Amino acid sequence: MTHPLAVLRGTLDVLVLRALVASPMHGFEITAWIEDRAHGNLELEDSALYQALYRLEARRLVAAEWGVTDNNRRARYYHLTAAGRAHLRAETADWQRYARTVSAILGQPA
Amino acid sequence: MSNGLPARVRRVFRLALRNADRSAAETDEEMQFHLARRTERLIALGLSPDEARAEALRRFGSLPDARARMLRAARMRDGRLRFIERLGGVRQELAYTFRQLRRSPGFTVAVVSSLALGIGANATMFGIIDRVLLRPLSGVVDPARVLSIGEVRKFGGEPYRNTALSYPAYTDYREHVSAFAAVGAAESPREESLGRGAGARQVRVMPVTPSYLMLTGARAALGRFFTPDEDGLPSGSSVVVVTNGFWQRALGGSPDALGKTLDIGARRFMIVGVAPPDFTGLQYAAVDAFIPLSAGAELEFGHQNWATTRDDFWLQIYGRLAPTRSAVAAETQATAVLRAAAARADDSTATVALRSIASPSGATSDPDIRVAALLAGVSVLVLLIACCNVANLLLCRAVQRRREIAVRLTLGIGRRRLVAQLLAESLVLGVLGGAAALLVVRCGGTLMRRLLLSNWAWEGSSVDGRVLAFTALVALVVGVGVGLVPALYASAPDLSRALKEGVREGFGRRGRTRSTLLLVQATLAAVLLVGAGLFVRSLVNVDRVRLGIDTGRVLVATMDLGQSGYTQPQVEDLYARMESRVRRLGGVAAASVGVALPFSSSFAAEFRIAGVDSLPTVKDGGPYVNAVDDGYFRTLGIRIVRGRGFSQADSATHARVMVVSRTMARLFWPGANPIGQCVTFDADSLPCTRIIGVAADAHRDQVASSGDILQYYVRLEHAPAFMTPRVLFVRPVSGDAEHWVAPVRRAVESVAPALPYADVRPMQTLLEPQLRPWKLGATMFAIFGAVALALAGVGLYGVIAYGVAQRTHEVGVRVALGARPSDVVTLVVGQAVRITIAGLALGLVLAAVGVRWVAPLLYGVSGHDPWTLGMVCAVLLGVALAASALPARRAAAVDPVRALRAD
Repeated sequence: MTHPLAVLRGTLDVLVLRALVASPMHGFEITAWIEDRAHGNLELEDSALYQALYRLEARRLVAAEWGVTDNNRRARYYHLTAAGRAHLRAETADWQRYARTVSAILGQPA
Repeated sequence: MSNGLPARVRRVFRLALRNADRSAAETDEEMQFHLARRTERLIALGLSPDEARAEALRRFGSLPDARARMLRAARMRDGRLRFIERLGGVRQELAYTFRQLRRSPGFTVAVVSSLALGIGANATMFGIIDRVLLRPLSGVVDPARVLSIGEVRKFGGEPYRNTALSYPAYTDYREHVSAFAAVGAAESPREESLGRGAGARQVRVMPVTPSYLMLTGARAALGRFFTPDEDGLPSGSSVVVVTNGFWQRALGGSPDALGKTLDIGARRFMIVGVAPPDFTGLQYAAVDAFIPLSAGAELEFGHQNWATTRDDFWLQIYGRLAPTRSAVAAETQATAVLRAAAARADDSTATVALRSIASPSGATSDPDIRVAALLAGVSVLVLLIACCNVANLLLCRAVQRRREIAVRLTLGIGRRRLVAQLLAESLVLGVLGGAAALLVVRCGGTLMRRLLLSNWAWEGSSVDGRVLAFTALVALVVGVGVGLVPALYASAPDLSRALKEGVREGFGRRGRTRSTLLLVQATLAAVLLVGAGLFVRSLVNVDRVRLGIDTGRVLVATMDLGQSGYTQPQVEDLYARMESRVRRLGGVAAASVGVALPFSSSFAAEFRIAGVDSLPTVKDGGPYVNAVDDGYFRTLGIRIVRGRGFSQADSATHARVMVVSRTMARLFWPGANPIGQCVTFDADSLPCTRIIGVAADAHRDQVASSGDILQYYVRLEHAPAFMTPRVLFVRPVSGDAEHWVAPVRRAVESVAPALPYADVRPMQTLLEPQLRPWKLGATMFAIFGAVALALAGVGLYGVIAYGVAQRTHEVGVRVALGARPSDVVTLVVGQAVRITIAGLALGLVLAAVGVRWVAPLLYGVSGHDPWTLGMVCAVLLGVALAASALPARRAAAVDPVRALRAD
């Protein structure tokens, strides 16, 4: 396995928004959701995720409320707002175009 | 789970938002929850509890730092969300306010237009005062170190500072006052003809020394200013620096203007520079072009001894202090210079007083500006009246909305929120009023500049950044100010009673507040009307001054022949030909050539009467002399009261005869018949001149002078040698003098086509500068007075009508108990009249106190003029009666049965 990659700052926001598409989650669920899909390739400090969440909250891309987990423990649940959904769509499209372009350039024979 | 979230989320927000500690606690709880879940997950993967805990902490990030970062992010989030929420609140409040205002358009229009007039009047006056008094002279660097030089001498025991100085005084100060880094001199801007023939017009030219422009610290925007050798004696170089305004207007703002020529007066000048925008030198009056002082002096005086004589006072002199030198040092040196020159007998005690051009006192000697400053003060009264009016309207509205407000209070809306809402409403009204005021400024300011203060240099719009800022500030202050009264009322604790009481209201505390506001309005309106009356009376008096000359029916034509190369006999011949050419125009009743031009120039000559040692004198000075031809008295409409005027027979015999003014006849030959008396002029060798007639006193210079004029007239051919200028006077049979300007100019120019611009104008225009302060004061006071009267009238009507509506029940009871309609009318009208009389009394007292600021600007009317005071009382009472008539009729028509059942 190669060494894990540091997560670019803007990227983390998009990943968080993506995690919340299907259903509201609390912070740890989001962490686990991203880790499961990164297969150990992304290195992420857990506290950074919360800062990203608060940032998104301030921009009203996500909203939060206290809820109860399956084990009856209090947890703060985050969900996407309409603005968050729109933002995710736009960012995803941009990101994919960017990645395709960079890959295409790097993939050309020297 | 997402169903119904928003409301709950919002509630959670509110809890979290209200309390910073709570926010931190929740962040900590979130962090602990995360660490616990991570640890559980790691234990499930096979780690020991201790190992799992350590690993969870490691993955979270170094704890104190990570927690601090999270808390910071949470704080920022809370701050931002709070801001967004407040913004939403404000937006909601504004939307609510606008909905309310749209629902009562009459009220909104009344308030906004009241405020627009009040704020607009102030902003207009601010714009003018700002430009001429407050704002530093445009383009002048470090104006505090530029000083105007004034020589102080005593006249009749009173020290008098004279700033019109001679050319030798300028060279003295320039060479001998080392405390000045530079000394410059300038003549006031004056009109010169520009161009030749049909395309000729007038420009305002300011002759200046090169040092004058240099010491301002300004640089030419294009080209250059003058070099010292361009101002060489005797006649300087033919170079001109144009102002930015002239460059834009007349030269299209093109850089090609440099090197082009302008025919100013009789000379052709080359444009060498363009001054920076708004630059008018060290003074505020309008100017089109600067020319070297010596060139200007030559245009004006010809080759006379202007550079050496200490008896011509025509220059303003300025010095810029050298670095490290003080004004006191400069004053001491300059005083020594003045005393050493000893131009006059009493100069051993004369002193020099320097005055910084940065201090506004320089312009306040101008009567236009003194009137404008007075009007600026007066406009504040207009605003106060408008504010009282609006406060009253808002108060009435608040009273009308008592039920609505009470309902909102019972529904749990906070008092603070309610007050905020009412203030928001008045603030919105203030801002709308301010916006509308800008329209008033645009129209009013432009009009005032053009019609009443045309002498000053105005460039740019009347609404500039400073006027805008002033308007915004006043609008905000007024918005909050007028809202305070109703807001305080609405938040009064007894309001909830309103629900139970219904909306009936007697003349209790709120009634008193409104009456007080009305009283203030009536008082201020009375003050303004007194001012308006006094100024209108002054203007009427000035207009009615018997000048002794039909200024309204005469035109004057002059031609600047200084550089034409004409000899004096040729000049005289030219004017004679011009006169006979003009006489042949159909519709010209009379024409005449003279030397002195009333209200412009005067001459005096040595004068003796055999056997009389000291000649009597009058305030106006004199005796003054004019040399005129046969038609003069007929042309100007000067009556001959005794004896006869000049005749053709006198011309034929070259008789040495003269006509004296009535005052001269009365003072010089008291009790004797002046006709036939003999007067000897300076040269004893000449035979004496015999008096053949007495003419009515004709004003010589100041319209507002006493009218006792010592003046005599000799025949043109006997004009003393120094009386070189000539003026052609033309009197049309009928019609507006203005319409005759063009035909007369064509006739005059047809006599000598190659000569410069003929200045033809109605004689009345010579009086305009003197009449302007009174015109300005009368017009603006009248406008302000009318606005005040309208506002006060509308305010009074509103409050009385409202009071009647509120008291329908009471009136019903009175009528039921036997009151007659006339009693009811007396009741209603009496209230309006009582307030008005109280306001009048207060207003007249205030006016009596304030009149001392106005008195120096009045003419022929005392500050306590009974006619004016009587008119003011009549007008205000009339308005009060008119305002209460309709409500009184309505009250008298109240049907007691219906009124008593209504509640």
